[in-house]
Amino acid sequence: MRMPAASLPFPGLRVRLRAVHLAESLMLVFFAVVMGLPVLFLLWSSLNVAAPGKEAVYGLANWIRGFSDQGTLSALWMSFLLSVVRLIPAMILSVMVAWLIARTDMPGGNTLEFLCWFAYFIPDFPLVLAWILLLDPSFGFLNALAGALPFVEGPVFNPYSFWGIVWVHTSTNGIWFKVMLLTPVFRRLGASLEEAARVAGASNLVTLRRITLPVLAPMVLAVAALSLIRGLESFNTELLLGLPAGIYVYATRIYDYTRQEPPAFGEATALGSVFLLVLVVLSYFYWRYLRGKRFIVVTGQAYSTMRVKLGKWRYWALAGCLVYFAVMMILPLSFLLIGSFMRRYGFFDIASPFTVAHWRNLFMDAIFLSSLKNSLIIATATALAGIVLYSTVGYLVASRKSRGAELLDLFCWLPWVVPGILMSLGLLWLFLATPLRSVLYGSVWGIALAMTIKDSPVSTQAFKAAFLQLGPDLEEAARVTGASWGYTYRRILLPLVAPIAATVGLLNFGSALTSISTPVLLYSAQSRPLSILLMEYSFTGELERAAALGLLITLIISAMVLAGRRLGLKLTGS
Amino acid sequence: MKQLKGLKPRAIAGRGIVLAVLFLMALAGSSAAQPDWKREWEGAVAAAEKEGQVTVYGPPGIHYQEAIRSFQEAYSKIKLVYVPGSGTDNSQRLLAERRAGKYLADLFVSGSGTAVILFRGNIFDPLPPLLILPENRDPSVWFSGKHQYADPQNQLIFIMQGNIDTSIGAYNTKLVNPKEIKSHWDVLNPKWKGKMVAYDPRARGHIQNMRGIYYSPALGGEFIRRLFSEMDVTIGRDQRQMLDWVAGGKFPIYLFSTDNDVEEAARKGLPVGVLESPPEEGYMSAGFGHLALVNRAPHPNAAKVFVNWLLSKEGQLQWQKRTDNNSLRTDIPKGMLTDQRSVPREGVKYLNASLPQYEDVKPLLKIVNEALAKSGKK
Repeated sequence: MRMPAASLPFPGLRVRLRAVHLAESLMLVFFAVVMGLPVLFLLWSSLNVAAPGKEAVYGLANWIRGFSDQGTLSALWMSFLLSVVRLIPAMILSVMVAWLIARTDMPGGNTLEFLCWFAYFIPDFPLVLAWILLLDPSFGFLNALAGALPFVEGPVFNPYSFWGIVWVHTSTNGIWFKVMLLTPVFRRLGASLEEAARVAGASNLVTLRRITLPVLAPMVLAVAALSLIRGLESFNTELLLGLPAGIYVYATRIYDYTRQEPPAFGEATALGSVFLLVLVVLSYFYWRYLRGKRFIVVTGQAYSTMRVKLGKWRYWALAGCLVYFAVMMILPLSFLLIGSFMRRYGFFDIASPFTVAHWRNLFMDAIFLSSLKNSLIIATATALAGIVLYSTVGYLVASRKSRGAELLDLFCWLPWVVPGILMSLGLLWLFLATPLRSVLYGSVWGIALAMTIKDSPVSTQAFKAAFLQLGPDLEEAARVTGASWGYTYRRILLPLVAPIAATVGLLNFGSALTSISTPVLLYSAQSRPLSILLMEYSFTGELERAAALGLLITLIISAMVLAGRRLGLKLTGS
Repeated sequence: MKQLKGLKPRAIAGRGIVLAVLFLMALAGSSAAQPDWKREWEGAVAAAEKEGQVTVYGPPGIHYQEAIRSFQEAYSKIKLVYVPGSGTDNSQRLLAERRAGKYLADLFVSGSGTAVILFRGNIFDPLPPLLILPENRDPSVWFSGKHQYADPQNQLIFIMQGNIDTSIGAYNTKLVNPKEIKSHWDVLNPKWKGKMVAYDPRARGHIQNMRGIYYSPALGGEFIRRLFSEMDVTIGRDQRQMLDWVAGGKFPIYLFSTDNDVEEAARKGLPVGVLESPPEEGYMSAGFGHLALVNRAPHPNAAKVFVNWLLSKEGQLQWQKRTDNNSLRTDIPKGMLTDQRSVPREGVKYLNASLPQYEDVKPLLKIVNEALAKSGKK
């Protein structure tokens, strides 16, 4: 029950409520403008049926054309099928790996977590090509190896198939992202509940299933929902592997509309609106599941982070994780690394197949240095802005039970339910319409803002889950001792969510370095980031130089991850 | 003639020299008496330097950017703002800017598909009034002795590049005998069924080639229909991937490949080559070589200077050298081009796929879609 502010027992509480209310209102206005408006622009423009540049004429023709196109429904079905098939095993594996890293005494957990970060930020395009080199039925390395066995006839692997796509997805973005998000949450979980379960005679697995997972449900569900939507939007892998096999997914169809002759953004937006529907449905179920439940794991009382002892299984668990990493990451990554030193990626039987020319050309390219500088500015600004903005949003969404908070939660999902190129177009319109055009359009700051917005679902959900785990007694204790809300937030709450803040910051940093679709309409020659340079190299067929640049980007992110992890561990006292 | 007959050869030669000198003096005098273009040019350069900037929207490829950036070396006082992007991205950017009432672009360099869409949106201004330098006004130094435009008004979208494309595609030199395929029609031999990969005919960036084939009297819609409905052609979007498939033996033939890519791969030792068709099946493709002046350009004088530089001998030399595409200027050397087959021969009539009479792609796409649907590839 909410008490009127005037009758509240503590004067500090009134100030707190005013501050929180103000913060909520400000955030609502900000997100309505930067996230709601671009989507509204897009939906409105999808009704414009006039030719480009002509006076607007409104109608439903784009929607009718988009949805009456034969194959749209089957593509949508294929997208769901692919997303769900790869989501279920990936979620189970991710939870297991995150639990092993954060909650057990398995050795090498920190290294494994770092490897997840490393793997997540390897650009997926060259990685898909690496898998083609490994699995192609005609010249794939693994097929050649398998063919040497006496009992094998014909190719064993085929990446141009449903299961090929599932496999490659599991490698490019299967568990890495999920483990990155789940591990800090597992780590924050106090051990008292688990200890109680064990005292009552529950095994490790039963404790995980009956105690740990239900308590961590907000984050597990949020990660599953995020992954499902990401899966539906994915098209790079499907384009390379699905098209030759006649497998069409929904996102490829949307992409096709933007790249066909002439481009049809109206139809693309109409099809993209299905993602909005998915969002509403997922949000409803998420909200229903969480309604009335409590997920507090960090309170002001005794707090233990003691780890589960696996006994002899700790080495088996480590071995299992290492095999998974070796197959899913080291194998294609080795090919990527070798590829950056090859005259022609994947061709070992040509004269003098190895060269350092691609690395040399990369460093000698005048555009490279300016792009590197731009990328570092964009990524740093995105990381810092993301932490400040979404920690506030996460707090509001987790602690407020108002309509405003629910709306805020919904707004934060929007950037991921609109395909990247369309969101970029919406933001372009927004930037052009504001008086800040000269500051935002074509500048690194505009791209940084766009990237901050683009990452809102994952950032908000991560902070929200972290704040949901904090008990109200911490805030109350601070308030009783006379601390202001700002002081409490800064000195008590933020340090408690520091590992998540570090995770969000690093995620935003990495995604700002690698994203292509978001800055593609917002950059200029002066603000070109590395990801766009990578796209330009791919565009001109300079795949080897693109591979070198992709590896370099991954190395930069890895260095940041190492630094960030040290900071995070220091803050949590681990 | 009678007067000449009475003169000795030496006297004739002497008079000839005098006449020649007089002619040259007259020429020099006439140029001195025609300072208009010079005055206009100097005025344009001064005004452009005062504007201080020219904004060009162009292709994303590094080589195209390098070619256009050469302008900066020639005119250091005019800042070149280059906005790279694919045709789709840059046209969306331009349209969004104009919808918001912002007029930021001066010039647009692109493929014909994008240029035509923007032309239909009444976004371009005529280009000929910008041509100041005599070498640019003179159409005789351009292929066929005329300036060619990709719009029906013949003045909005200048075609500065033209590669002759007579290739059928790439082939694996270990798996295919090129003598067996001497015409596009030869790939319809059932022998090649299921053994070919082709660039998606519906995808952007490829439509000029498909227009060349569709409007070719020797090929036409019938060839496209049969190819995509009968031959079980695998469709791809990544040119590099498809070429590697051919080199690796996954497919013996890759239709509609880019010749320069095939040559480059062959130079690196890959077993690939180009299948050539007879000249009558060839056509001229302008690729990204379309230049247009955006109306309400914020820097009209700088745009004028840029256009004159880009179309000049020097500008076209830079364009040709860096992009490896044949400039339609005929007064620059062609030896630098990797693929000499791309250079058009004077006197030969080519189907230029960028010309407005070949602009309509709807019937072509209808055939492609129906054929792909029939073969279960859509």
